[in-house]
Parts: sequence; structure tokens; C-alpha cells
Amino acid sequence: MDAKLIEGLLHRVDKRHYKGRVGELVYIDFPPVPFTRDTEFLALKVETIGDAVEEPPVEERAKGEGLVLPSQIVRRGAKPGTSYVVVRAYDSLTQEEMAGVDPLKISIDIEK
Amino acid sequence: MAISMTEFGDSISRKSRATEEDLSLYKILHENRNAIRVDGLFVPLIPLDEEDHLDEDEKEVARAQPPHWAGNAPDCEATPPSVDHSELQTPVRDQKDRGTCVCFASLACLEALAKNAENLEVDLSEQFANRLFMKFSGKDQCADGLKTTLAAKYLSERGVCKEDLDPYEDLQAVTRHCSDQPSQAAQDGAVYGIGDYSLIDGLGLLGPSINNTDYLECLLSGGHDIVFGTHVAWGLPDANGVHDVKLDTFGNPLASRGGHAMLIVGYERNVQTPYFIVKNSWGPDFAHRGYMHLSYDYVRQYGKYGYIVHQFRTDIPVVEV
Repeated sequence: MDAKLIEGLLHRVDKRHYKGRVGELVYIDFPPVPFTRDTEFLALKVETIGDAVEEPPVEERAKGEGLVLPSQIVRRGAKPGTSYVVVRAYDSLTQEEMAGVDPLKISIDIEK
Repeated sequence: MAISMTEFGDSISRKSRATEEDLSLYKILHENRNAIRVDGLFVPLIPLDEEDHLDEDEKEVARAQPPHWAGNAPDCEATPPSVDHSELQTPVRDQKDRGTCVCFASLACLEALAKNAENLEVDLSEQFANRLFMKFSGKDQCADGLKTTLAAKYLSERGVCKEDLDPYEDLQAVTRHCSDQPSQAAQDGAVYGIGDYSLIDGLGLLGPSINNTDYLECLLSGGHDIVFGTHVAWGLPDANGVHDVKLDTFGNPLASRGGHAMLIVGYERNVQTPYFIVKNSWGPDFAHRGYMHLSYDYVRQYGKYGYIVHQFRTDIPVVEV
């Protein structure tokens, strides 16, 4: 896979900072990465850093066919502070993180 | 080979003693999960999410229209060992770097129907179809991604034009004019669409379900092609060129990493790994001259939903996009 292409697709997102309140759901939109011959073996893995948010037991909204998943995730404010959602690109054939693709980092500020 | 609890019960009742393998399978089935056999091991089917089913409106459409399992479906007792409609298709297209697979799968189905039922060779505009689908979704034409079954609804309400009136562009080109309207000629020529269709839900391994390979064989042997939406979890094809279910280190089928739409145009049952012949939209040099061979187990495990078209229309009322 072309690291430069994947990097460009992953980082074409405008909103990188979200705000929420304790107990509220925060819907985080990822850049729509099209599922194509170039991204056939691309896997996106999401890591949450920090304890200001938690994973709620709710369905995340899918966007049908044509995109690499996830295209959106949901977090819930747990306590005041800042958490980060980091999206990394992996090669699904080797299960290794793609060299040359910077992770996408999105911050979530949670208020009382 | 997919196994249901009923089938398991039938097989176990013929044995004097259950094996370890039987017990592991029983454990999976007892949790109300279906199982498939991959590389000699039984693994559970991944439960489908709510998003992977038809919504309530779609279910109403699916109930109201043929075919039903024992209704308009062809004679399922006598499906041939193989069916291949690939020679009846229009050329394999290339969606390039956009997530427009639903447009390509849907229009491939319409083009084949026009060619074979109406004797009409037509190359329909995927660019126009994506404008239309995204318009219905409240987005501009640079967006993509759509639930496959919605395409059937949209194409029965609005038409698309021929390719030469609104040619397909790659992502870089289309991004220069996301909000532009199609030409007047393209809008005036948007008369091609669906007259009648049937939706297929992912209801499991039995009945009129996208995961029931007997049912899909029925439809294909009856002359239908099947537009289907699927999870993406394949790896490289096996030595026979078939894309099959892959397992993770815990022995479970790999999780989905995306969604894709393609057109099922045939099947081959009497081989080591039975497979469906699937028209993709990644150009003619992909896999088998542009067609994938997806194993039956893959479709059982990862198929989400789909639709078939009964009637091609050339007189959809023109409405400005």
C-alpha cells in the first residue's frame, strides 16, 4: 500500500477537537477513507488515551458500503479533562503498523 | 460448510457418541450462534450488527415484493452445479480511488438487465448515480459511501443518464467541483432506472437471506444477478484463486475492516471450495479478469444484504438533481 496516499486520506479531516460534558455522548467523525483497490488491505485501529471519556454500550453509526471502518466512533464523557482518540493505519496482511503514516490524533475536552 | 443447530441435532442423533469436535460445535450453537467450518475447525459466525439489516421501511418493501422463498423463486430442488453470467455482463469498470462501489454494482446490474432482457447496450453514468445518491443523503457529489439497499430505492425513484453525458472522474478531479450541478443534457437524459426490485436481508443461513447460499443459487439459476453489500475481511486468495474466510490467532473469523458492494453473477458448487463469481469494479486486471471468486463460507459469514432487479426502465420521469 502507498503510505503517502493513506497518510493523505487519513489526515483529510477538518475537525480534530471535540468538546463534551460528563455523561454526554460525543460522536467523532473520522475522515471517510474510501474502500478501493488501493486500500484493500488497510485496517484502521483506534486507541483511546486518557480517562476523561469511556466507551458507551451504544451502536456506532455505520455509513454503508464504500468506506474503510470505522468511519465514526462514539465516546461518553466520564470526568472533566482531556482524552485523545488515536487512529493508526495497519496492513491487514502483516498486522503491522504502516511505516510512513502518521497516526491521526483527535482530542476530546470534557467539562463538568 | 455452514451448520445450524437443527442440522447439528440431526447429525448427532445418528451417532452413538459425541466427539470433542461435536462438543465444541455444540457450545457455539448453544449460544444461538451459527457456525461454519474453516480449515477443519468449527468457528462461530460473527453476530451481525443492527446496521447490517434492512431498516423497518425496507423490511416492509421486502415483504411486499417477490420473490419469497417458496413463491417466485425458481425451482430450488434442481439448481445446476454451476451458473456463470459473466459473459452476459457489460465490461468491468474501475471506480478508481473513490468509495463509489454501490454505484458501480447497482449500474452493472442494470446494464446487464438492459443488455439481456431489453437487448439494449447502455453504459450508465456512475458519476451521475453518485450525485443522485449523495443528494438523497444530503451531501455533495464528493462524498461517498452508501447502504447498498438504498440504491435500489433511489434508482426506482430517480433515473440516471448515460456515461458520456456525465463521465466518471477520480477523486482529485471531482474534488475541484463538489457542488457543481450536472449538465442540462445529463439531467434531461436521466431516464434509466429500476422498475421493480426485491430486497434481501441478512437473516442467517436459512430462508430468503443473503447468507443462505442455496437461496442465492436459486436466484442466480433463475437468471438474476444479485447486488450485495458485504463486510470486508478477506486476505489474499487461496491457491485456487478463491477468497475465503480467514481466522485470527484465537480461531475466530477476522473482524470487518470495511464495507464493499459488488454484483454476484454466478457460482461454482462442485469444487473443493465452492464459490460465487462476483463482478468487482476495480478494473479488468483485478483477480479473474475483474471478477472475484468469493467462497460460500465468506458470503455466509460476511454478507450483509442485497437486492435483485426485476425490471429495467428507460422512462423514469426527469427531475433536476
